Amino acid sequence: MKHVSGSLQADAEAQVRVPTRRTLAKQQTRAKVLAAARTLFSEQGYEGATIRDIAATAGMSTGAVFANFSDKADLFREIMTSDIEALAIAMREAAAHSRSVEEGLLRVFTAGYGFYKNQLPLARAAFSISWSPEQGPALRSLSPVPALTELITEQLLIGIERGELSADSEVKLRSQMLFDCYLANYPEAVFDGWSIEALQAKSRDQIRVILAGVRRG
Amino acid sequence: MTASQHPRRGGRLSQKDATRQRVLDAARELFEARGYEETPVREIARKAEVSVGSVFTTFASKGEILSRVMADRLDDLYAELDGVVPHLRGSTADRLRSMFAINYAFETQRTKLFLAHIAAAYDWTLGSEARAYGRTPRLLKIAHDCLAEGVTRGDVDPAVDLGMVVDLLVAAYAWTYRLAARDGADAATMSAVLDRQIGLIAEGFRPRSGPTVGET
Repeated sequence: MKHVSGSLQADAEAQVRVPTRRTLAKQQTRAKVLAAARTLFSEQGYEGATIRDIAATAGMSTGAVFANFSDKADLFREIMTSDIEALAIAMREAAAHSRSVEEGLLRVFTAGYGFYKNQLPLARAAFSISWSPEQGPALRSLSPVPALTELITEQLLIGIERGELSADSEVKLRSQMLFDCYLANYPEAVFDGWSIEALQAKSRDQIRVILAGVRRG
Repeated sequence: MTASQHPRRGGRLSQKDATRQRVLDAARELFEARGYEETPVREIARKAEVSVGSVFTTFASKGEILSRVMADRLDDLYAELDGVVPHLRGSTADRLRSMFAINYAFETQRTKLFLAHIAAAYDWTLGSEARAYGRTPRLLKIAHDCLAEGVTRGDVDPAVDLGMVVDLLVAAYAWTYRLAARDGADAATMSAVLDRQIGLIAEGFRPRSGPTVGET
């Protein structure tokens, strides 16, 4: 029986070790597919990028892609989730230690435009898909999305705390408006190729109007 | 390189125009009856009695056909607004509220189609012609005229950049559509939200000193 238990033990060890190696390989495969998908979405747009091209760019079979992702929409959501998480971090870092609400908000906006400056086709695809009846709801409900409006809300709350804005500032509505205004400026960046400086100048004026009613002193 | 920029003689141009119109008529009927996603270009071609190939020599994509169909629909709306806006009463904020409420009421007759139109406006394959969503020059002009009238009446600060305020108003108007996309909100619900937003924007454009005038 010694022999049997030894073999069982070996099996148990193998079960622990082998999946780890497999998991690692799987992660590498996923990363490769995601990188290829990001490149193709940026170059061809969402509709133009096919799973077959993505697989070819990643140097694997379409079967291998489908073993890791259920479909193209799944790939796109995965990319968006990691992007929005990274974006929220970039915005938060940019806003830290701002001296005024206006400066903080402007830094949040600018961090956003800067983040997408080199991948505007991806931003364009994200806008388009977020309005599509089939895929829009799933994209809008990605877990890191609310963090972006929350960042704006935080800036307003800091302003209230510092006495820069009045306590009765309709924070929720103003946050939404500021976020919408941030989003609404993307067409200029996407279609008209405005510079970051031009987008920033426009945003500053817009932020001033939205906050005009609640500024103190 | 559109036909109108390079007019050719007689036959060819008018045939191209005729094809274009037939495709648009067929597309409008099918989009309204079935929906945008549910209508393949093949069906549009069949109904218009033209080949799929000639649909694509006239339009770059289905998204562009939708943009054109919607632009034509919106032309009707703007004609209506041109007649109504001069007669709107109240403060500039109130006149803007009424004007955008008319937009919502009109557009939500076909909410799904309008949302598809918004999505298509960001489509990768479309040219700048498709930027219709919330940015049609006529809508921008109507909003701008409303504000300019406010400057004359005295409840809009003459020092304010009106174009920038128009952009803000249109941003609020357009993105409030998320309520329709997400919760299926109707025109009245969206108007109620936009009314509050216009109120906040109005705080930013009213004259700096003295009481608000023009409220009577």
